[in-house]
Amino acid sequence: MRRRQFIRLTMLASVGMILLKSCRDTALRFVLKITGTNHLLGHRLWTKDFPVPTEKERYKFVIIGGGVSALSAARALIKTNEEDFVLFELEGIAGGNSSSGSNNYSAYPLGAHYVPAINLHHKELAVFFEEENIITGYQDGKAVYHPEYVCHSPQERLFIDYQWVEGIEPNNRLDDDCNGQFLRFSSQMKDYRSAKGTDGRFIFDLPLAYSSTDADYLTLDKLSMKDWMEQEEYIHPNLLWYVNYCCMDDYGQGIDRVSAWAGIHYFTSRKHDLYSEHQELLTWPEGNGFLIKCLEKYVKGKQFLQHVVYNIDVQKDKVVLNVFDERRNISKQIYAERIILATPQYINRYLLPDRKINYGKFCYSPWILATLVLERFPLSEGAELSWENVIFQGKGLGYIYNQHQNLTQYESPFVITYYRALDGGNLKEERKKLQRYSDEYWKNEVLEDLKTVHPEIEKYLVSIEIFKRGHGMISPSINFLFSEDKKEALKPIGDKVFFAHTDLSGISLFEEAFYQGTRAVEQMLNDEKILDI
Amino acid sequence: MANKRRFQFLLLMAVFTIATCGLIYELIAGALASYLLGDSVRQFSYTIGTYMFAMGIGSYFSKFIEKKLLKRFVEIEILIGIVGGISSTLLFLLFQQGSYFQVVLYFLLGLTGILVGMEIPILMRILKDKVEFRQLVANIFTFDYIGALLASILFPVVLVPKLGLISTSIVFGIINIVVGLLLIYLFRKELKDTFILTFKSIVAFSGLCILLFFNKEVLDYSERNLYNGSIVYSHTTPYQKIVLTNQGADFQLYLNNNLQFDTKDEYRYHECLVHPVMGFAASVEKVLILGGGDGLAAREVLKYDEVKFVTLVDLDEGMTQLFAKNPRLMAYNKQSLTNPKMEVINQDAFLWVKNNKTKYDVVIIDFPDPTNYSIGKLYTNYFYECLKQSLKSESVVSIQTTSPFTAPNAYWCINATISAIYPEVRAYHVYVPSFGEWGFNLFSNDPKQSFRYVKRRMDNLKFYDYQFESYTDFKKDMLPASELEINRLDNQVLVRYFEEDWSKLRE
Ligand SMILES: Cc1cc2nc3c(=O)[nH]c(=O)nc-3n(C[C@H](O)[C@H](O)[C@H](O)COP(=O)(O)OP(=O)(O)OC[C@H]3O[C@@H](n4cnc5c(N)ncnc54)[C@H](O)[C@@H]3O)c2cc1C
Repeated sequence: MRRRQFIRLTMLASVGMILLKSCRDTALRFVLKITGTNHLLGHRLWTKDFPVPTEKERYKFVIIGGGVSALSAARALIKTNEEDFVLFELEGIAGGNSSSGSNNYSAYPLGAHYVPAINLHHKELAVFFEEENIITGYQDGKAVYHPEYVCHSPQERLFIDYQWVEGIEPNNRLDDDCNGQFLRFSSQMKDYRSAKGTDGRFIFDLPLAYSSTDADYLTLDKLSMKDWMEQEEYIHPNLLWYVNYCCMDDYGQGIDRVSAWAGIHYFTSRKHDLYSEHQELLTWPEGNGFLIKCLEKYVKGKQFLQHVVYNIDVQKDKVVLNVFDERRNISKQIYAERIILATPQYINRYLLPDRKINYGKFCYSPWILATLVLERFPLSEGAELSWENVIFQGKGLGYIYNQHQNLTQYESPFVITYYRALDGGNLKEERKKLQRYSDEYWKNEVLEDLKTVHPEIEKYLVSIEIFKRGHGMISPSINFLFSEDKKEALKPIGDKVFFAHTDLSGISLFEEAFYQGTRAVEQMLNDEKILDI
Repeated sequence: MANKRRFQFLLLMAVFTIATCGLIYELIAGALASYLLGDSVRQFSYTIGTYMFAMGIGSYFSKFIEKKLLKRFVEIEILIGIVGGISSTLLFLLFQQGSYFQVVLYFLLGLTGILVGMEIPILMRILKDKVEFRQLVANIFTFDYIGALLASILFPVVLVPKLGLISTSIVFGIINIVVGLLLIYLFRKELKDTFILTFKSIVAFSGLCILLFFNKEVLDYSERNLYNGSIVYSHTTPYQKIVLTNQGADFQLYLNNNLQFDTKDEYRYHECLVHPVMGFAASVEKVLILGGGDGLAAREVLKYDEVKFVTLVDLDEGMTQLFAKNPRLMAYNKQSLTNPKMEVINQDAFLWVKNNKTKYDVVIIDFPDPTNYSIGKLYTNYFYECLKQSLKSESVVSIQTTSPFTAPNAYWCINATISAIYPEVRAYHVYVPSFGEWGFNLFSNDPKQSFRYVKRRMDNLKFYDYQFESYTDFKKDMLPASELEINRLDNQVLVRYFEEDWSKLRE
């Protein structure tokens, strides 16, 4: 190489380096992807704008929906040797509110992400957990869970007063008033946890249907959790925030909307830790998507994805379903003896328009989830990165570290999922916002909240995937759980249509969904009058 | 006249500066070569010789430069700045690839030498009409030698400890170019067309400045104070930061700022990690090493002819490559990582252990101390449970388990966790001067294993004497303060104990 050339080359290289550096500092480019539930297809249910059916099929049973309740129904059918059934799910993946996704670095939840240690008196669920080796045995009357599935330590941390602290209770132990209220609340919840009604049942149980029906306690459903707390003189802002956070987490709505019965239920329905404070919970990188995988083996060859049921005609001797196959863009007519509707009531109102149900009572909170891939984990003060990372007085519910359950060493890139329930004044308005506001808006909403704890997070951001759920979980609003409207919606139509969705429990949890699916099958099979077509 | 004086003075300052730079490049090459290749007398002697010789070649070639002397001189300054400036960065990057290192080293050394050799003759020719010859020769050589003296004092006292090798070479490259720039400015009239020349030097200047800015050493300046010795090599792999330092005749390896070994006394540690378990095992044909990517435990294992096959699982490929390729480090591990009996697997040990079906006679675990939750997982009851899959019924395992003196709770927590899974567990410890009192555990699933009967002995060990019982006595100050919990994935108590133990020490 000539000297001239050499010098020219070095010049080029230096210029290149200058450019490189300036790119690194200014661009901060990352991939933004916005997805969500298929609300367009959902909206077509309303207009019934589907092709005329051109194919016909016949099955003994049909399950509609592909969430936990639907898949649990499928499991129950297989367990009773009923093989002649199919399942139709609107989305391209199974799981509904418990579905999951994955990227090159980790699986991550697109909805539900954990199940606390279960109530062993929910026998069928315990059997299911044993089958899947989630419960590996029993010791001193307690379940022993698979060590890979029990949430590893450190479980939770809270960002408060400019730093992370272990645990999520913002209890200031040095402040007597605050500490006193936290302790009193905790001890009252402990009492409620073991309290039983005159019928010998727990006052607050899970599944909810096992709970006592003593009228005394049902009055708790007639006021908001906030009002109840005020009555009981729980007024410290930290405690109010904490209880509000818990309600948002499980019900998608805060203490001013959720009934006191539901609010207390959150703290008292799990009996495994009747006397101890230790919170055992089960989680996986893909969240409850893991349980979906376990259940999906019961629908092998029977599950039809991207199939929307858009009409149900209940006839004397059969049920006729119209199903749109989105992949092939055709409709089919399905004849079934009996069906299980494991779809939420806001859908059912379009499928069964003649049904006289007060659907307005069923409220669903909209959610956004954002999965972020980070090249490095931003450093911050205090407790180390935990499974659940909550921001005190943040807009959202914080984020989950998805690789937390991996057995491997910390490995870049890091994948986290941020959760936020939209709990504005009016759920319908919030839902509209979700679809109407720009991608940029939602991206900023997520990043702004995260930046309060990780100011430099954008620097490490590789990609962000925002998942919108217009109808998240059912909200146990005031006067809903024990209402006639809810009871009415649960009633089968003749001996043909059976209902199984968590919104019929009134609270949306894996245990409830499993219970609903299993119960619906029992109800359907115990109804003797199965007719031949 | 005054003007002429000033001019002369400036030129002599230039001589002084370039002489300093010239010697610095030589010293850097010598230091790097002796760090990497060992035998510093020979390395320094070779580098000095080569450099001087190259300077001679440079002086010779200077006669072929006939015209535009000043311009050429400035160009040479820029070139020296570039070559000298980037030389140590380049050599550091090649550190891992031991075999090319020498070639590149001598090539760069030669190139710099030739260029530096051209400087003085050309300068003398530039000045010959402006200054009286007798005075010129005397002044130039005086300043040349003073510069050399300054460089040789600055280098070990200020530059290496404060700046580090890489930054030193870049900084002096920059100084070289600044000299060039000054000359351009001073002689702008004589040089006439200075634009291109200025542009070249400014580009080279900014190039080196950027290199300086991006250079890790500068960023990690504060970190450098953590080490006692001078940093020889530093490399950040996706998993950890590897730093090799030098103190006198010894080398120290730090992983994420924790001392991994000091060549002065690592034999104590590695002999005690390896020979007790090898002595008690029924058979030692198949040996598994988890961690230990430095190949030092493997070196001890390979001393036994009975050993047929060794699997080493270490997460960090950067680490095992370094110790498999670098001649300096290979001298310490006796080429253990490239031994035909060795199989090196770069995978996460937990995942590997969970999926492995091969059974080993002996397992040696050399993980880092439980300083964070992800390392903590490797010390849980679940890990020890999964490890059973790799064991025969009579296999024996040895494991490093941190210091029972500085971290007694952590030490005994590991012991308790293992005891919850295995029937036979023995704690033992040894004094390693650079670490302090250090602890290990032996364990086995075989209830007949009493850790009493030595089945094979290795002669000529430097430290371990097979009096195993004498290592198993723990005095009060090495016992835990209270009852300890077992380390599980869902409580990770070990990391907490470890942290508490260490913070007590700091108080
Ligand atoms: C953001 C979020 C976080 C949550 N976190 C948790 C948690 O951590 N733990 C927990 O236990 N629970 C959690 N939940 C509650 C969760 O909803 C339940 O655990 C459970 O997944 C509900 O199951 P499901 O079957 O009742 O309902 P869904 O999941 O709503 O299932 C209904 C299915 O029916 C399909 N469908 C609708 N209409 C049609 C049609 N016309 N034709 C065919 N298919 C149709 C839908 O696509 C859907 O897949 C969370 C919920 C949300 C929204």
